[in-house]
Amino acid sequence: MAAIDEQALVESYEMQLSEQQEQLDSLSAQVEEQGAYLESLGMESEEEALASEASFELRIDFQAFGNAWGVVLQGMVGIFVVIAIIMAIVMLLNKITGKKKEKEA
Amino acid sequence: MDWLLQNIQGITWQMMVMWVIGGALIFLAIKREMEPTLLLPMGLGAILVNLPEWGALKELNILYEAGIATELFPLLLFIGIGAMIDFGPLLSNPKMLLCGAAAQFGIFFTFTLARLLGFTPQDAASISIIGAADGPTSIFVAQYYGTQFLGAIIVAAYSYMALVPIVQPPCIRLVTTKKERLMRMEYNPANISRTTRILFPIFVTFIAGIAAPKSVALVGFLMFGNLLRECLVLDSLSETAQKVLANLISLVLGLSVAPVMTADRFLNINTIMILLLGLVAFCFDTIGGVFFVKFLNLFLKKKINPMVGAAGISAFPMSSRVVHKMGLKEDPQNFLLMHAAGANVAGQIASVIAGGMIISLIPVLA
Repeated sequence: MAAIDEQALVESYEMQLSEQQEQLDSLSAQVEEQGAYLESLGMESEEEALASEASFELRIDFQAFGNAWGVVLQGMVGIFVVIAIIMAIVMLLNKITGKKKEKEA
Repeated sequence: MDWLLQNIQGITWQMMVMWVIGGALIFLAIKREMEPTLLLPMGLGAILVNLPEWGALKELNILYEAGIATELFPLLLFIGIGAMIDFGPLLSNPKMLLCGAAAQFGIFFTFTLARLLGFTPQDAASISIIGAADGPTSIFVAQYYGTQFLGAIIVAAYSYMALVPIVQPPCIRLVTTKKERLMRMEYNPANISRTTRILFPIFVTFIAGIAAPKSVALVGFLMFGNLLRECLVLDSLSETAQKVLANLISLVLGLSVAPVMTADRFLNINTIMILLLGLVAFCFDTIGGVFFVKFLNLFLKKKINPMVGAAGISAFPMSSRVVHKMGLKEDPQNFLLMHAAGANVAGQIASVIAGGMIISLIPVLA
């Protein structure tokens, strides 16, 4: 019985070890991915990336200002389209239910 | 006594500035009654996280992670807000929906200014949403982008909402003539059927879900609250949402934003810029609404008082009250409240849709 227990124990340890190895592999893959991403941003470490995020510097960016007007146009048109659809539905609902009320009256 | 000395030595001047800011928020909440449900807990929270050894930061961070980081608190608060809103004046006069759309101009205008000042598109989007004049939407969008300026954005959003009676009148006077402000409007409320009242929140959810899927959570929760109110078979739930739920969430929401109000994150030039940009957003929302009504009047037989356009900003119900008071000041017989209320609730819907548009147009940083 003891031999069987030992065998089972060894097997469970082996399973745990292989699971831990898999976790380590996925973690190192994540670290590699992060490193590649930071490299693409021209940064060396996560600390450096965070530091650059925190140290925002005031600068006038006319190009970004010009490009932003595209977002303004799309955003305002988008809102008006959605609101116009809602308005049309409300008018329609008022018309349909209004007629019903008139008939009932 | 060493421990006491050590704690006193741990106090920095930045912490003391944050105590003053916290005190000022508490003062505004109690003395001036400006958004007390939120400014009071925010004020005390600001003090709590700026004490030696980080004060109660660890404990408040649990609230932050549970309610703000997951965007749960703003969404739950929206159920309460939805249950409080009566869309009747809007359903009576659906044209007012357009005022709500126009009064979101400040959001997008501020976005361009923030980009001009060098903010990233994500930070600029988070800052510009202060112009939604709607706390939960501001928190939702700013948290969506994970901006480092969340604390300043929330403080600006709620402070300006409280300051609507001070911010809006000068802007309205600047872009309207006395003759325009004197314009009278008849109010003939249509009898809105129960079917319309029930179908309205359902249709709005569908349309917002299809047009701006990323805002569907916000719109959906708002409309769910309204459906509770209008279905008339869940009165106790509706009442709970309006009172208990809204109060409970407001109570913890103010405290849970405290972790982003530590001196190191809050005291910098960016906070001042964000406060200024927030003010610009509110002003241009107001101006956008007024100018749109003037434009609309070119085509309408029954003219709309241009001041009503300013109520399209979503700060509900302060904005409609401001417009009504301004109308009465010009002419004691000019009652604009119901028209302004229609535009105001339209602003509530439009600001949520604007939040969804912003999220759809500006991608999150990878």
